[in-house]
Amino acid sequence: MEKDKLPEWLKGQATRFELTPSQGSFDVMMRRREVQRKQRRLFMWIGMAAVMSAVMGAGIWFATSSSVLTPEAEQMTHATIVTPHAQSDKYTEANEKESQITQPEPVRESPVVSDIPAPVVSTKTLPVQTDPAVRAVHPASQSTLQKEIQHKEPSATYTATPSYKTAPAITTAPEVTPMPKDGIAAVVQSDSVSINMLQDSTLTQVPKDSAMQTASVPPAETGVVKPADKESYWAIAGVFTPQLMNSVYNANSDATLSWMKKYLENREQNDKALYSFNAGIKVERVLSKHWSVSAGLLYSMVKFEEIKLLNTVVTDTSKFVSLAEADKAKKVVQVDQTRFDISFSSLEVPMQVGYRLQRKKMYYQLTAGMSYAYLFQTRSLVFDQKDSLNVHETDDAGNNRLTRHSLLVLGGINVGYEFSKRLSCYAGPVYRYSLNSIYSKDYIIRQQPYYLGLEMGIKYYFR
Amino acid sequence: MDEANAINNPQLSPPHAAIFEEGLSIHPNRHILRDALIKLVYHKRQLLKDDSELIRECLAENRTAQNILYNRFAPKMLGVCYRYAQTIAEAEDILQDGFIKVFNKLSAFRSESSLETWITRIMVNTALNHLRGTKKFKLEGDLDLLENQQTEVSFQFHTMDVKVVMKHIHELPTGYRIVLNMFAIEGYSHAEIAAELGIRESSSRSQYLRAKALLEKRLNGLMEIPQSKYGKR
Repeated sequence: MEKDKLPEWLKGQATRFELTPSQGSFDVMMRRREVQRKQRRLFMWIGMAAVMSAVMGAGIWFATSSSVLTPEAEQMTHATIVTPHAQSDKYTEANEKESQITQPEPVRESPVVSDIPAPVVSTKTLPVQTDPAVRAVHPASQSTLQKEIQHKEPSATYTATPSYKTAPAITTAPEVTPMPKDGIAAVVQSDSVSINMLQDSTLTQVPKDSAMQTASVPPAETGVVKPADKESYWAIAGVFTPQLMNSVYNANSDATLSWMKKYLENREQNDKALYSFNAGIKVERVLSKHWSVSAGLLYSMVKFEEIKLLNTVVTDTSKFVSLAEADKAKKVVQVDQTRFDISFSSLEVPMQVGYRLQRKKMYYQLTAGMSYAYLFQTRSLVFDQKDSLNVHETDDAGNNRLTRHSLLVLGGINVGYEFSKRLSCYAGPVYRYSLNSIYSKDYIIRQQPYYLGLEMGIKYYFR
Repeated sequence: MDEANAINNPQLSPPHAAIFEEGLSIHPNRHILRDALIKLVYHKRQLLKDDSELIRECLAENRTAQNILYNRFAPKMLGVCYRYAQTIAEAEDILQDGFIKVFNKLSAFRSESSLETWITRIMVNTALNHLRGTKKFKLEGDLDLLENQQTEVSFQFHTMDVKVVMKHIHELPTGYRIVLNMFAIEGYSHAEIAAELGIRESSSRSQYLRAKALLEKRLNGLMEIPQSKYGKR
């Protein structure tokens, strides 16, 4: 069978085949590459922020979910009666001497269990052998806990229940030092005793029955003070706000000039908002059930497309040169439309007052305030009328036509959801309006931007 | 030696040379300026000669070097892209995407193959991705009809103008064209084509045979007609 010669021949032809790319294609390609790199960087940051938020959220959720106490368990964390029990041969004499029988103060009957007699309980505090594995028993390490308890109390059979929520409440005695709220690592119940494994290395024991019966000990009488929800506390939030910028245009000088009118009309009609965002952290001080104040630090990236009528006489198009400025000297001969893709990078310090209404786990928050913005970088890409790239890419941070300091008023409404006592997320529209022009005062037009965004955040409460 | 030569003979084009001389004559720091310009010229020549130096400079994001690399390969690569694209604008799009990849992945280039081969491979892959993305790739006709069909057309196109040949390749139906390009020009096997395009190997074969038959028929027909008629289309 004859060999197929076509591939070889075609390959030879193809290697000689060339086409000339259009003019400026290299610049267009490099510009596209730069945009892609910026986007990649942005996505990388957003991804990192999302991962960090997720990790923080998971950590916070884990931390908060393991310390959510039932009312009974919460009482137990503040006062615990300890009782003598079968002594392990590992307890020292000194410890035994320290043992004491205590008659606690009568327990006030709760409305619910008023017919239950107050138990008589005796106490004994047994130091736990120093064992790092047990000093901070994690709820997951049930087997470790079981081993340790059996080590301490070999005569008894124990069932480890490493959860506060299932813990029995225990009566209290004034002489027992209140334990820290998060002190209990686990509660272990046997046929005859309940043992609380504490992080401060104290193993305490109480008769199970008495513990079970005194579930509603009033704190006032027992020295246990159930902490009321704090009225004021701190919160910190990570926020991300996609936003769009539009502007209000006014003439600073004589607006009756025809070119000025034309210029302003052109800007109003053709300027276009591009995707922008701000992101950062906010610290909130909750003052009461409804009111709070907050401040933050945000990085803000604002992009917009600006159509300017450029005097063709003006050659320096890279520096926000406008028709208006050129026309000051009455030298306007001809105008062309030129498109600028502009980006402003600023640091913002918002200060807000919030009013909050809560309904179960949902909450609604109205916010209003001021924000100071410091413009530290501007970039502009200049395109000619046909939209092909016109080599200019400038960094105009030092452009004295622009004002670096801005003051904005802002307001918004958020809808939030509390995952737990300490963690919530929220989202809602936010509106910001700049009180000053992006240009300096002596510039011939005023351009006051306003922004509409969707603020999204994750909030952590220190309460 | 090269540097001395460059300094003595900058080889600027006449308008540039005139501006250059004029600038030198009035600039207060003309000696410094001259040295700087000469070094630039010399450096650019070095880049043009030495691929490894060019790659190193491209990796350092030297825009001049990137421009040189682009200008060196873009015409040929645009030809490659055009073989897979429908229009010249689409080919330019693919070319730009491809060069973005080239500049982004240049650090991965090992000198096992030539730079041109490596760039061509990237362009072809980019073109195929583009085809998949736009879902323009479609097999033509009954796939297995020509499985064992032999093309009897004699092979007599050696003197043909390359542009005419490429134009006729470009006018083939998309499915034929892609398979013909990949098999005959890029050197993919039918198994590789099948894997790349998500088709059966037998389909790749039949598409190639059909494409070959059609192309040979059209090119043979051309031999009897003056070529100038085809140049205008």
